[in-house]
Amino acid sequence: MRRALTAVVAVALVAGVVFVAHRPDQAGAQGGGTIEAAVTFAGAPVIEKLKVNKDTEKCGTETAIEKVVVGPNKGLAYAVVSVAGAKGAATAKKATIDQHGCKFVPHVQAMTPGEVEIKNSDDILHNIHTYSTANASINKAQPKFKKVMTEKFEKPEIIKVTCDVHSWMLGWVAVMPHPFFGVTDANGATRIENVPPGKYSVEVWHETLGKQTKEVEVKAGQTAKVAIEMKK
Amino acid sequence: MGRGALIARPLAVVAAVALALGAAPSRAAAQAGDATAGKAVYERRCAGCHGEKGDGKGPAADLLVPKPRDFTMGLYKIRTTANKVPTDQDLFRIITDGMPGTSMPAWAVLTERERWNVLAYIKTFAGEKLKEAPKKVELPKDVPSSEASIKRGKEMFEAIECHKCHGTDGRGDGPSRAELKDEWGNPIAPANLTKRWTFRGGASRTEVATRLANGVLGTPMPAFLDSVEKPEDIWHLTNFIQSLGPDSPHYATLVTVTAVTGAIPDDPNAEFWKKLTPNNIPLMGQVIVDPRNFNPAIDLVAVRAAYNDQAIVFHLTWDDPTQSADEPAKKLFADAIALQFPPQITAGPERPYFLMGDGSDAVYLLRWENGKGVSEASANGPGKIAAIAGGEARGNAVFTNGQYRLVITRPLVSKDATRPTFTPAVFVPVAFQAWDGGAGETGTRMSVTSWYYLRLEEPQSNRRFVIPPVVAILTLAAMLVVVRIAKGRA
Amino acid sequence: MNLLRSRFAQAVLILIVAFVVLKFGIRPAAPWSVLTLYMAIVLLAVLVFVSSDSDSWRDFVWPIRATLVDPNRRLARLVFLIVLPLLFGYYAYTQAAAKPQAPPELRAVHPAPPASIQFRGKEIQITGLDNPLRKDQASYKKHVAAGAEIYIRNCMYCHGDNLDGRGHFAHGFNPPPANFQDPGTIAMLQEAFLFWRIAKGGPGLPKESTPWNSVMPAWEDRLTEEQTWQVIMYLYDATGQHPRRWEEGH
Repeated sequence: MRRALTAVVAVALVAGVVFVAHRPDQAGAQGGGTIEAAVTFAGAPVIEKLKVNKDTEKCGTETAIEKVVVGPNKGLAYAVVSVAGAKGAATAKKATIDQHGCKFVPHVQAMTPGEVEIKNSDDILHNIHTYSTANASINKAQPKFKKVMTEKFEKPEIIKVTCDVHSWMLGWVAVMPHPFFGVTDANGATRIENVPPGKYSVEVWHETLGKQTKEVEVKAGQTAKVAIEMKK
Repeated sequence: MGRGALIARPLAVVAAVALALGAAPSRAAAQAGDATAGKAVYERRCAGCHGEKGDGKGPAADLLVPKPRDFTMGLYKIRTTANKVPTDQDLFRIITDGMPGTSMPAWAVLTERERWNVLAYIKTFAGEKLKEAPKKVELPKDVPSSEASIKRGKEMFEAIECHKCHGTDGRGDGPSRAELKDEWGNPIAPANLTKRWTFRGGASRTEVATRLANGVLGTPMPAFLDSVEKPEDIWHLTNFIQSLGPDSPHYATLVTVTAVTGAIPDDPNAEFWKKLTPNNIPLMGQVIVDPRNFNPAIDLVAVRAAYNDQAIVFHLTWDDPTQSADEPAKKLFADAIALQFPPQITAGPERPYFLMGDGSDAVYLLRWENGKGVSEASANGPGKIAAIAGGEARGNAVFTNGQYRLVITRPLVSKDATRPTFTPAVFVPVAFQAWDGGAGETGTRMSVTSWYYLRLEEPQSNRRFVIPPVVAILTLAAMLVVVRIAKGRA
Repeated sequence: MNLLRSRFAQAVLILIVAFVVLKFGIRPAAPWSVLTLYMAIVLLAVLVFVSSDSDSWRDFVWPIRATLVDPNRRLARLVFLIVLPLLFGYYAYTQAAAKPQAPPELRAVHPAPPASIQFRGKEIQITGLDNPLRKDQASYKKHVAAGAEIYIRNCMYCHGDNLDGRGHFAHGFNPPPANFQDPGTIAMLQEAFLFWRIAKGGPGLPKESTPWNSVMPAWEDRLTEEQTWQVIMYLYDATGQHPRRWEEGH
C-alpha cells in the first residue's frame, strides 16, 4: 500500500518537473538561458535563541537570530546568487522590506538600484539603521504611525539593516548592478532567468559563510544547473 | 542742556568701555586649516586618546567610556547637517567646547589657528569619506516653550516611543538600553534626559532639536525629522526634554539638615521630602585602590536631610538604570550607597582618610544595600569593613523608572564610640560612596566623594525677624540726632 | 552752578567710575571681598582729596549739610530718613537670614618635603636629588613619550588632558587637582619634590596639608622609580616649565 503511494507521488513529481522544464518560457523566446542554482551547506544550522524583554505582544517572548538556515538535503537558505559581470537593465519591481513580528521580511533580498519601500506592520517603534559605504547610511526612526517610508539604494553593494530598538532584528539588502540574481529558498534553490548566453562565474554570498564562485555556461533556451557547497 | 551733555558724555564713555571689556569675542568664521601644521598639534594633544593613525586606539582608549572617536570612518556624532558629512564649523565647535559627559575636553586652550589646523589634519584620516559637501539640516520653525507645547511634546515622546531607550521618565533606563551598540560595536548608553548638562552635543534648545531632527550618527539614535507627525513636533519634543531636568546640577558644598518639630516621614515618596531643597553631590570614580573604576556609573546623589529631637533622617536620590541584587555568576551585584562620617565629631580639622579611613583612623558607615537594607559599619579602609553590632539605623527604599529614593533614619545620639552623635550648628564631615551593581560595581569599583560638610541647622529662631527692625529704628534715631545737631549749629 | 564743579559731585563721580572699572574692567572678575577692599582705598583717597584744604572741604560738606538743615529740602530729608533705615534694615535681614557656608579648608599647599623617603622599601634621599633620567640626553624623547603614556592612563582623569587640573573628575574633589600649567606649581618646585608627592600621594602629606582629604593616590604602589621620573619629565616638557634647581651650598 505504502509503496504504491510512494510510486504515485514519485510519478507525479517527475511529471511536474517535466512539465515545468518544457514550459515554453520567455527566456527561450528572448534568446536567454536559465541558471538553476542549488546552494548547500554541510554543517549544522546556527540559530541563536533569545528572550525578548519588551514588545512581547508583537515580538513574542522568544526570538531567533538565524545566522545559518539549513533546509532539507543540506539546502542553504538566504544565499544571494548572482551572475558576476553580467549587464542588464534594472527591474521595474520596487523592493520592499517589511518589519513584521520584529523581524525584517524578507530576511535577505536582492534588488537593482532604486527605491525601496520600508514598511512597519508592527504598530510599535522600529528604526531603520543601514550599514553601507557606497550608499548613504540611514538611521531613521519609524514610529507606529509611520507605516511606510521610501528610501533609495542607488549604488551596488550589500547593505546590512538593523533596528537598534530590537537588537536581534537583522536584514540584508543586496543591491545588484544587473537583474541576474536570486535568493535561495528554504531548500537552497533559486532560478535566474533570461541570462544572455555566455560563460559566467556565478557568485554566491551568504551573511555568515561569505562568498564563493563557480563557472557556468549558459546556452540560449537551456537551463544550466550549478551546485555550490558553502564552507565555513 | 549744557550740563546734561557734560554728564552724559563721560557716562557714555564709561558705558562703552564697560561694554567693550565685558563683551565675549565672537566665534571666528570657518578658516581653511593647514593639515601639516595640524599634525604637530594632533600628535601632541590628541594622539593619546585618538591614536597616531586617528583610529581611536590611542594608549588611553581602553580605559575610556565612551571610546575616543575613530576618525578613519569619517563618522561624527554631532553635526548640523542632513547628510553624513559635518560642517567644519561643527567640528570646530566640538574641538573648542569639548563633549560633556565624555573624556573629550574643551580645547579652547589652543589658539584658533591651531584648532583649524588640527581640524584639517583630522579630516585627512577619513580621506574620500568626507568629500561630499555638507548639507545643512533645515529645522522647522521654532516653537517657544509653553505648557501646551510641553504637553504635546510628552504625547509625541510616548507616540514615537523614546522610552524604549531613554526610559519612561527619561533617565536612560529603557528596555533596549542593554542591547545598544554603536557602529564600532561598543556598548553605548542612551542619554539620561534629566541630566541635560551631560548632553554630548550641548544642552541648548537648538542643539537638542538638531539631535532629534538628524540623529546622532554612528549611534542607535535615529533621525526623527521625517518621523514625527508634524515637523514642529521636533520643537514640542525639545521643549518637553528641556522640562525634564535643570540645565546645571548646581553642586552643593554643604549639606544642610533641616530642623523639624514633628515626625519625619520614612516614606521616600512623601510630600515632605519634595519640599526640601536637594543638595546635589557629584560622585567620581575610585581610582586609588585596585580594581579601579575609571568610568563610574553613578555620578550624582541628591541629598536631603532633616532632624527632630530624636532622630536624624537622610533622603538620598540617585539614578541607576537597573535595579540589581547580588548575582555574582552573572557579574551583577547589589546596588548600594553609603554615607561616611568620622566616628566622633571633633573640633579640629583632622579626620580619617576620606576613602573609608585607614589603619589608624576608622570611619563610621551608614550603608544601604539592595536586598539587605540599612546597616551600620566601621571601616579601616575599603577592604576592612566590620558591621557594628546592635544596629540602630533603619531604612526604606523605592526604585522607580531608573531612580532610587532612599530614607535612612538614625537616632541623633549614639550609644557608643563607634558612631557619631549629631549636634546642631556643628560642621560634621561627611562623604558618600555608591555602587551600581548592574554595571558590575562592587567593592572598590565604586563612585566616591572626598569629605564634604553637613550641618544641622539651629532650630528655627526668629532672629531674622527681630534684628532688621531694630537696626532700622536705630539708624533712624541716629539720623535724627545728626539732623538735630546740624540744625543746632546752623 | 555747574554740577561738575561741586566737590561733592566730583567725589561721587570718582567713586562710581572707580567701581565700574574695578567691577567690569578686571577679567576674570575679582571677588566681592577684594572689590570692597579696593573701594575702601578709593574712598579714603577721595576723602583725602576733598579735605585737602578748608574751602574744598566746605564745598564738599555743603550739599550734605544743606540736606540736613535747609528748610527748602525738607522733602529730600524725609526721603533719606525713610530710605536709609530701610536699606540698613534690609541689609541686617540678609545677614541674619544668610545660610551658613562650609568653613574654608586651610591647608599648606607646598609643604616642606622630608629629607628622605622609603620608596618600595628603598631609602631615597630627597634633599639635593635631581632627576637621574636627565643625565641621558639621548633618551630624553623616549622618556617623555613613556611619561606621556603613563600620564594619560593614570593622571589625566583629575589633572586633565591639558595638565591644567581640569580633568573629568576634577570638579568633584576638594582640594582640586594641581594645575601644572600654573607657574605657581611645578615651576616653583624641584623635581625631587614632585617625586615625593607622586610616590606618597595624599596619605603621605604632613598634617598641615590635610592628608585625609587629598584624593591623590600614593603612586609608589603602581609606578616604578623610573616611571615616576618619566612622568615628571613629561609634566615639565608638556607645560614648557622648568624645574627649580637646588640652591648651591644648601
